[in-house]
Amino acid sequence: MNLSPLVIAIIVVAVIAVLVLFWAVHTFNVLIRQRNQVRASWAQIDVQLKRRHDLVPNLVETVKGYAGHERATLEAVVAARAGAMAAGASPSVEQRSAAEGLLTQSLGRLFALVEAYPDLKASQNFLHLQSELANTEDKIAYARQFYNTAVQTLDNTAHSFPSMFVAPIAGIKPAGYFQASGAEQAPVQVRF
Amino acid sequence: MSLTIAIAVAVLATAAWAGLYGLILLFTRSSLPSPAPATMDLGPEPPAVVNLLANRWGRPDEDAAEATLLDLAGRRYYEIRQASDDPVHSTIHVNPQPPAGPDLLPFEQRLLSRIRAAAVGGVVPLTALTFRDAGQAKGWARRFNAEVVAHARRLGLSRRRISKAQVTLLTTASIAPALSLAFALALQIERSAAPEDKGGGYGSMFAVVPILISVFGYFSGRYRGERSTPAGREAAARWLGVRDWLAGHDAFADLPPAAVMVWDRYLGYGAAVHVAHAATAALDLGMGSKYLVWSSYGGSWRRVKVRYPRFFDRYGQATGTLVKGGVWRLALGFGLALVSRTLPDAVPDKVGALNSSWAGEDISTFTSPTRLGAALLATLLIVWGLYRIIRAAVDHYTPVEITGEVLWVSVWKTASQGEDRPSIPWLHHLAVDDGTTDRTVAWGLPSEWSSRSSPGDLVRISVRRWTRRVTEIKVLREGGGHALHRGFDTEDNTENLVAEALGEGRKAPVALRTQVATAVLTADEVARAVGAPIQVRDIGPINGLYETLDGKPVAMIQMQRGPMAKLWWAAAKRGTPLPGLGDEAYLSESGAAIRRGDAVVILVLHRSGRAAAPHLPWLMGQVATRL
Repeated sequence: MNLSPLVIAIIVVAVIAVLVLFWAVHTFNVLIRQRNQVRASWAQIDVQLKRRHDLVPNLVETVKGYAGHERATLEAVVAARAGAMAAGASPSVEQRSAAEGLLTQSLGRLFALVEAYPDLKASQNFLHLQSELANTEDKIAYARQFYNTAVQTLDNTAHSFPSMFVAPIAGIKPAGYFQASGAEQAPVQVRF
Repeated sequence: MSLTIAIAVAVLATAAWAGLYGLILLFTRSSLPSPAPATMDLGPEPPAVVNLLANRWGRPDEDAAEATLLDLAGRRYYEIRQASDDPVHSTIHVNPQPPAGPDLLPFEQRLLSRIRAAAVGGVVPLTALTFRDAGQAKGWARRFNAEVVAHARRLGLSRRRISKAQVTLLTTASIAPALSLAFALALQIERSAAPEDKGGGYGSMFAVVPILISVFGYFSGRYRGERSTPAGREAAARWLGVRDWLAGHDAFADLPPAAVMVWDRYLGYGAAVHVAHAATAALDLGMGSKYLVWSSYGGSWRRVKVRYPRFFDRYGQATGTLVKGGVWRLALGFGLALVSRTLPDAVPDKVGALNSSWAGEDISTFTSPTRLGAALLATLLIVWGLYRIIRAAVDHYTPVEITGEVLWVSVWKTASQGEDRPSIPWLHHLAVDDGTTDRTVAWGLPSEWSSRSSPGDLVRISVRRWTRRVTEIKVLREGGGHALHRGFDTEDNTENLVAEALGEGRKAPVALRTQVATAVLTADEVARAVGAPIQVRDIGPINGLYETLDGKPVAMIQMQRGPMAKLWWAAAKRGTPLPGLGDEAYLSESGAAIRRGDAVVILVLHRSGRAAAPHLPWLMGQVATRL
């Protein structure tokens, strides 16, 4: 069977087109899977942040019972919590990360203040809340690590050649990294 | 009853028993539950147990130990630091102050001890944790896995796959095939027996039936992995959710072992559920290569290339043997020289042919190709024999002393015992790093000394360079892994080891205290020494009998510990001392005795077993490694 050059050219182009289509579908699926992973990772952060928000009022109440006159510090914590909760409604990761950073810093000041109140430090309720909060902070740190890794993987795929051509079709938008608060970036200090 | 019917009944009964066994295996299979939603929340189970669950309760695989290694790093018992882009180039830095926290589990402690024992100045390369003895590697893994299974059972996450009730059922059910098989055998014996021997076949059933029931019982009780429990399935579902979560992060699969310092326990759990591919690929806790071995001699770690010479037959030979060989060559050479003069000319001296005389002298030797060839061969043999004798003498009187770290000990040459008889090792390779270069060539160590040192030991050896024979070996300092590795070369089955780990019956480290006498010397080793297949029979925990396959005793072993052992030792301590074996060892005409600590082992050769007398030092060396 003799094929004309035109037919051969059409077959070659068709084969290439099918291969490109398969690659595009595969890359599209990879991007969608990675985007979903970013969202799932963010959901994990969200769960832990909400848990932290829930712990703060109890903590403030407990501290108030022993150090009620430290009004300024307590109010700063309450305000930072309100700010963090308000930022929770915002889709901006940077905004939320900044608000949570403020809450972390104000909590840090609150725990520094507790040093001056031995009765408070010995309170079972306070110790329990402190342990819960520390546990939640740990989980936030790991969740942030997973989230940032997922964002990095997605960014790498979305900005690499040639998958960068499929990223706009899949509706991939750059996701922001969830930054550690200033206090967490500073050298670690251990206070007991 | 006809023999054919008896055989048919026996086959059917055996098939029925096999069917029952198969059904039990089928119904006790464990499948993985549906995974829980993907989550990053880790549960309380240690990674090695998670590995067992992820493996469908079969048994922990090599990732269990590797996951535990990463997990202990995540818990800051040590640090893993990567020195270059290649994750294999990582080192473990042991934390001198263990972190506060709950006590380590037995298998975690086992791994940490291994790392600490291997570390020099608190540092050990990641790839230097491999074993240098296949038996120890296998035994270590068996014990580690048994402790993991025991912990899983303690947590209620796992149970015996074939329960004790099922084993009892199978053993009871085996009476039918055992009886029918024994009956068929008895019928056959009766048919072929002489008239005066009739009736003996049926009598043999009394002996055959218990043996067959024991065989069926052995198969019933064999370890077949674990079986799930409701709590285990719940935990497995949760861990499968964690696996899905970790697998969803593409980057996680590419994390090196050193990433554990950032990911803490997640990397260990990732290894346990088989998603941390790069991390586990860089780890190896099994058998190492004998050609590229880590050495810490001189205080710093480096890899030494080891060459194992094989070609020349002089390697490892004693001076006497070499001289004897040289004398034989000389005798052969002189004999051939004498004979060569009488050899006929290959080409008859016809007219115009070669002259056989010159100036009145007979030069036929040089003109005849046959005589010339014989003369050359004779000269070669004489020169070769002289060279061998002189070199052997020079080698004998110019020994060299080397001090260094033992890198590897393995069998080099064996002596054949004829057809159907196992060969006996008489020479071992001994690779020693003297710290001068990163390459070394192994020496020939007489096999009876092979148990005197282990890899990692600091030794001083006296060697002959030409024959590469070790003439003396002295352990200056035992290596860290020496004591650690004792007792690892277990052949015990997993169920017994799990029972030990659970504290049922024999206990883990104390196992050696209650080991039966025959556990310190295998039937295979006695077979090698005797030169015939051997079977072993325990006579209580203290005595054991080694017999030929037709039931003739060749050796008896006795083992005792504690105060009674002192009395034994007083009676057994006689003969020629065997230095370097255990704390003390003595060799007599037909036996040997060895003591290490409070343990005493006496080996007595019987009748045909006395042929093994020259190999008694080697046999006692094998015993010494297991005491």
